[in-house]
Amino acid sequence: MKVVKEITNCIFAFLLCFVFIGTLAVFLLASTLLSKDYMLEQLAQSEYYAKVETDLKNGLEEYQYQSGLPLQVFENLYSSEMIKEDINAIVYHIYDGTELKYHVASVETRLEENVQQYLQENNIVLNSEQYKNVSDFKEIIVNVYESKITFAVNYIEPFVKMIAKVVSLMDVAKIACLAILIILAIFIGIINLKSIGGFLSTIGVSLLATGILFQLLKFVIVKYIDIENILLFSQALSDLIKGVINNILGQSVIFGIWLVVVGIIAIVIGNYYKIKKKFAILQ
Amino acid sequence: MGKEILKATIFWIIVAFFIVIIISMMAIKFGKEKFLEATDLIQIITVDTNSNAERPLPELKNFKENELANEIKVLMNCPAYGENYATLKISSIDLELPIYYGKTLDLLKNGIGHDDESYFPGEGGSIVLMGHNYGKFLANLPKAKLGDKIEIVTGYGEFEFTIYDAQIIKETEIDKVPITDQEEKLMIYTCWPINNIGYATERYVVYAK
Repeated sequence: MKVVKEITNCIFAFLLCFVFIGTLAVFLLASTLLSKDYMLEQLAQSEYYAKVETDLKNGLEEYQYQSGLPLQVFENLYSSEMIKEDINAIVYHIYDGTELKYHVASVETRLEENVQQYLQENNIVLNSEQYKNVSDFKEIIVNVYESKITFAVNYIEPFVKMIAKVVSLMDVAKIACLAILIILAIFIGIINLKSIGGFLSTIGVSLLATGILFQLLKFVIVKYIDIENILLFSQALSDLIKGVINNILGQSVIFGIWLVVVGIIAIVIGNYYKIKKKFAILQ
Repeated sequence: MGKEILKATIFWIIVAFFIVIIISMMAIKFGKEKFLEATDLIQIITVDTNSNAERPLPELKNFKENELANEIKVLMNCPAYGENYATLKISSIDLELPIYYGKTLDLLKNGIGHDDESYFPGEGGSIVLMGHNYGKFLANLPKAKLGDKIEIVTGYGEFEFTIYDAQIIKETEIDKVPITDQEEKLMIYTCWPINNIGYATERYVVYAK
C-alpha cells in the first residue's frame, strides 16, 4: 500500500512539475515580453532612444555631405523628445493597438523652413533641375527620419494582431494554470490525507525538479545561442533584444534558484514530519 | 532520526532528478528539431565578433619577387580599418590629401576614403577611392586633365598613375566602378555636380592606370 502511495506521489510530482513550468512561463511572459511597461523600461535601460538618435544623425549626415547645403539646414529638425515619443508610439501600437502617428510632418515643415531661409539668406534662386534636386533631397531626409524610427514596423505588423490576441489570452492562461495547480494540489492532499509530510515532499520534489529544469534551460539556451553577438537591423535594436533575452534568462535563473531552495526545504520538512510520525508509531 | 531524514531527503532529491531526466528526454524527443531550427535561425542574425581572421592577401601582380620582397612583406600587414595609410597627390590641381582605409563618413570628413572591398596600390587590382565634392576635398577633381599624373604615397612604396578617362555616372551605375583583380586601375570619384544643392544622384569618376 505504501509503495503504491509513493508511486502515485511520484506521478503527481511529475505532473505538477509540468504545471509549475507552464505557470511560471505564463507569468514570466506576461510580466516581460507581453508587458508594455516592461518593454518601455527595457527601451530606456538599453538606451534605445539615444542610439536611434545617433543612427538618425549618422543617416542624415550621409546626405548632408552630398547635398551641398550647410549644417544649419539640418539643425532643429527633430528633438530627443520627438524621437522618444515616436518610438513609444510604436510600442503603444503593438500592445494597445493605438494608431501609429509620427512627427514626420513636423520634420518636413522644419526642413522646408530651414532650406528656404538658407536660400533667401544667400540670394540663391534655384533653376528647375536644382529645384527638383532640393525636393528630392527633402523627401529623402524625411524618409531617413521615418525609416530610422520605424524600420522594424513592417516586420512587426504581422505580429501585432497576434500579440494582442496572446495578451488577451494571458489572463485566461493564468487562471487556467492556477486552477490546474490547485486541483493537482487537492489530489495530492487527498492521497496524503493523513500525512502532511507526504504532501510537502511531493510538492517539494516538483519544485526542485522545476527549479533544476529552469537552470538547465538557461544553460542550453546560452550554449546554443550566441546572444551577445545577435545583430538585427541596427545596433540599437540588437542591444535591445540582447537586453530583453538576458533579462528574461536572468529572471528565470532567479526563479529556478528559489524553486530549488524552497523545494529542498519542503522535502526536508516533509520528511521530518514523516519520520517523526514513524518514530511516534514505533514508540 | 537525523540519519533517517537525510536518507529520505536524498531519496526524494534523486526522484526529482529522475523527473528532470524524463522531462529532458521528452523535450529532446519532441522539441529538438524545432529548437535546432530556431537556433539556426538565430545564428543567421548573429555575427562572429570573436573571429581574428585576417584579411586574406590577394595575389600580388606586377611585382618581381626579388626586387620587392620588402613591399610584399609590408602588404601582408594590411592597415587597420580607418587607418591613414597613404597620401593622394595630384599636382596638376594642387591636391594632397590623406587616404584612410575605409569609407565611413567620419573618415571622409578628414580626407579620402579607400573602399575596403577594393585592392591596395601594388596588389594588381582595382583601387577605389572617394571623397567629398566641396572645399579642400575633391571639388577640383574635374579640373584634372587626361594625361595628368596621380601619385599615391604609402609606407611601403610610391605608386604613379596616369589619368586616361573621366566620366559622369549615375549613383546606381556601380558597374562603371568595377572591382577586379585583372588589372591595377585607380578610380577616384566624388559627388556630381560639384557644389550641388540638393540630393546628388551622379558621380564624377576619374580613371587612371
